[in-house]
Amino acid sequence: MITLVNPAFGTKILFAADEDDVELWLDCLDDTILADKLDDEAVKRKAAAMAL
Amino acid sequence: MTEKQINLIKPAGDTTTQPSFNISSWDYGCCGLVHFDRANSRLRINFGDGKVAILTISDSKSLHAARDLILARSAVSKISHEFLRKKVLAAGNVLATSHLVPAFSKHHDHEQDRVFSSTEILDKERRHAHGMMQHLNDNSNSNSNSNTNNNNDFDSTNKPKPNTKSKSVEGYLTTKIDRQWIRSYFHFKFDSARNLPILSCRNSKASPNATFEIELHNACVFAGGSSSFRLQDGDGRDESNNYKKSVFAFGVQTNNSFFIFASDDAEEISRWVGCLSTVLIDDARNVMLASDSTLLSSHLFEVLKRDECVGLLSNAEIRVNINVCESFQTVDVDIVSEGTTSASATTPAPAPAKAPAKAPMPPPKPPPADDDSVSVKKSKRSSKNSRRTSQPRPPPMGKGSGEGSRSVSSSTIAEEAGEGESERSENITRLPPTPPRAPPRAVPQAAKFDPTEITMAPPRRGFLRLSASEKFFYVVDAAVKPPLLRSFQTEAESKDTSNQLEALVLNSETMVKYACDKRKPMRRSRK
Repeated sequence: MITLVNPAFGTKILFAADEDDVELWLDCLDDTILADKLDDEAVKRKAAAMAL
Repeated sequence: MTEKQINLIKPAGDTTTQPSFNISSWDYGCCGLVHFDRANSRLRINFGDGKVAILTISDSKSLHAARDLILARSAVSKISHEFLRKKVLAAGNVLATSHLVPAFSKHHDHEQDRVFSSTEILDKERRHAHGMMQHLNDNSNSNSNSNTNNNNDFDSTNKPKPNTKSKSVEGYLTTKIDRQWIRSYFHFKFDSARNLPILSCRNSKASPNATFEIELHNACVFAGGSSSFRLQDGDGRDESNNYKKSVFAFGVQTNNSFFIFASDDAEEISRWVGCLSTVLIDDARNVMLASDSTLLSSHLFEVLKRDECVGLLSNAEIRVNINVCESFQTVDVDIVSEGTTSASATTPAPAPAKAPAKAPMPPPKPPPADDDSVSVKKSKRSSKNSRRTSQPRPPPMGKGSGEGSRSVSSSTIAEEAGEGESERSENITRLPPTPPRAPPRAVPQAAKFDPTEITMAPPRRGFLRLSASEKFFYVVDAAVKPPLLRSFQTEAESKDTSNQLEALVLNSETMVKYACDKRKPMRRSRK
């Protein structure tokens, strides 16, 4: 069972076929979110550097 | 007088204004109700058994952060140990009993300005529970109770959204009222006549009258990533109920009470959580369990640590320590940012004089040895963590603070927050005790940071179920900004993206939670 929570869509619960599949989905979702977060931070840092 | 007004301190030079929400240490997590007084920038925390702390925070954004931290954490605490009187433990797999939680307004007598004793509270709880059952269909009772409690204490963002008043959900759930588990037919809908969201309970679907109603105005719903619940009685024994197998559950906190609703049908719980979380809250962080935020933040922290970029995000880690001595004369709270010096280490707390060093509340009991799903689940996620970085995980936040009064509970918290995974995991090599963390860097090293170094999992596409009958093809699309999880009827449609059903945004505000199903045999972690 995978639970996604976001202010935009509330809570979404999804079911994968098996534990391995859950793992793969979780890895992918975690990584995607983390990458997006890091991208955002990189953009902010770049903007801050530009401002200086 | 058991109330202490204290100040939350930010470290000197810390100019962060928008801290992220990671709880790394929580010495005493027995939060009852958190009253968010926006006008006075105060959080008033009722610990449920007569202890009240008032936290005054200087800037409003920190107030929001602290509020969110406490709300998220209190959900865990309630479900886990303290509020359930140490009957249960949360560590991945939550063992839960349900219990009517003392209410702030119910137990604190404003006129007499005194706090009721634990015995009085228990008596009141029992009377309240009996009252709920006896005053069948007495809607005014619950309404007046709740309405008198509003008084600007709760954040208005929890009010129902206008466009969600048409949503409803119904079905059989099991909850515990006054020490008895009952399986009843519950129906949640927005009562237009009273302009309130109401959860009504009937003995069966065919019963014409409600046995009791719970008014969910200003209520929060808590759904955890760890959804395999086991029900226990007050002595820690498994209850002889219908749930020999996995039990899924969610919690609802109202102004007055906290309920756990359980079912052995995960999809039933999914329907309820989906509806309630949409209707009852605007702020999804309120349903975030701390372990989940910790998981996400720990990934971030690991990467930054590996790249020696700790401090790069000076506000990436916010540590909140709340230390309540048993005398309840002192409440120490400090919020510090990772990469800066601990406030408590540099600045004396402005709180009244510290009580003598009394032992903090004892840690909760360790998980039962036969709880395989805990270790298996943790090891799976831990293996994922371990392959992201070759370095050992950093010591739990707070261990380097050098504050002896927190040493006992910090290990407890570390375990809860996932830092104790290695101890339970059979797949993780035991590491030697980690030394106290070196003084954090004060200067960010942005030049060394490169997000592209992170090893990302390959894109995923495949079928996922929403329910037994709803199965769609999902694709994670990281190419767009923000990345999306999109669903399609068929795999063919996903390729030309012609008939997209839904797109779930996967930005940094998204929390991903994990839950295992104890009914299915767990496999060993992949290597």
